[in-house]
Amino acid sequence: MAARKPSERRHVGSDNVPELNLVPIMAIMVILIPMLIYMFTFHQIRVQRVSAPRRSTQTSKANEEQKKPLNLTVIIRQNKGFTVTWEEDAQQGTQDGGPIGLYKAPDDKWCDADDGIRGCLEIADQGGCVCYDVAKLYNTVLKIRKDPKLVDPKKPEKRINISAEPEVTWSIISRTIDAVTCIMGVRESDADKNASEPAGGFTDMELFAKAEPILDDPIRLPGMGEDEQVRLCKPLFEQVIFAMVE
Amino acid sequence: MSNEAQEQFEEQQVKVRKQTAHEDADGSMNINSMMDIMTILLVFLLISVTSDPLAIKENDVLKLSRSYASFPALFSVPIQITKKEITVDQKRAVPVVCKLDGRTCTDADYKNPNVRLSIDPMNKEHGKKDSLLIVPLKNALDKAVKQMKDDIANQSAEVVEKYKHNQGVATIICDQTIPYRMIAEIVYTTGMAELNDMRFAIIYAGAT
Repeated sequence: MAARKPSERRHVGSDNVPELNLVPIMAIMVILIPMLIYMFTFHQIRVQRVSAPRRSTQTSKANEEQKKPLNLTVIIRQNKGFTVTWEEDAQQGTQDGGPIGLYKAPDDKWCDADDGIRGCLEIADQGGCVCYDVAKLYNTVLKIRKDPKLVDPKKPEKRINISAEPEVTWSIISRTIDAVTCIMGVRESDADKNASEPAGGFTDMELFAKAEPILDDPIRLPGMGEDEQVRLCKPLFEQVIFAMVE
Repeated sequence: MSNEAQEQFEEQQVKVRKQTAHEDADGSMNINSMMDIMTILLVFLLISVTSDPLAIKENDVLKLSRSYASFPALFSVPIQITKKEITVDQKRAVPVVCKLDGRTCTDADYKNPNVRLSIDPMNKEHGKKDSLLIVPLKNALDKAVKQMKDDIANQSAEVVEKYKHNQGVATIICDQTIPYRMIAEIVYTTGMAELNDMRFAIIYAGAT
């Protein structure tokens, strides 16, 4: 048998090895890839920040002499609405903004629209689709925020307590947090890049349903990448604390 | 060579070329490069789907709330609360009790908005119904916090820096029908595990 050149040696017998049939593997891949893409979420996940209440035992004289804390609290009542309370220097005891009842939706579709972003529920006793009146809640909280007797404009209070009756669901709490943490506005036309506060305020829920937070300039938060930036909303009461009673 | 012979020769050449081309395209396409692309894509998708706790697929037991909050989700301990269970870092910590008209929910009941969700008192401190501390959740959170601290110790300076800024942060991925009582219990327990800054994941409803 004649000797072969090294370059020929590796090709010897290659014709006898059958080529691997990749078509069935390809068929599996073609099924698997669309399935995984379907499993992928294409939503933008963001977060609402909430702090747990902290216990403080320090009661110094200096603290006592300081201004009384606003202690603004929103209580969510199951199928009834909101109660807003706060403390005032000039007044004894806790002030109460009066109950903010439910708003009868103009259309039953409000309960299904936008995956619950409007804070509406089907309640048979209330005659169908009713909404927590977040427009009135927003107006009440904004009025307190802009009152110089209650909130120092130079060093504004950031904290707001949120409490709820045991059966109130997270979607309603989340909607309430939206209404008390950001200054809201509307776009007067589709061409507007940014929302602005409506001249006459939010007169009803129909206008508030179109509201969106007014955004500040982009900033880089601690823990973010060097190229990353985010536009947060103009704050109303940005630090939400869940009030709990044991 | 005469003109006729020349034409005949050219015709023959064309025939030969056509035949060769036909033989090459015998239907056996070379799919090796396609396979490479598919394999890379498949591995990438598998890693993305399984490793990111915020890659959430909504279903009957987990539907997130919609909100205008624009704060981004950052590196932290993930807690997922569905109608069936509470998981910490994708590991089951506590089951959720689901009742409808006094009986335990079936899979079909999870769509019903009238289901009552709670934590079994047996899983609370001293077995008391009114207690806010969920013991197995506290244990799972303590373990997750310790695990995260250990993992971070071996990571790059960039990851360590990110962790420093998000120490004490928990991201709560919560179904929109979870009642306040249960949320209060989870918030209280999370606070007891040194995670005082809680961030509730929502689906951004604003303009992008």
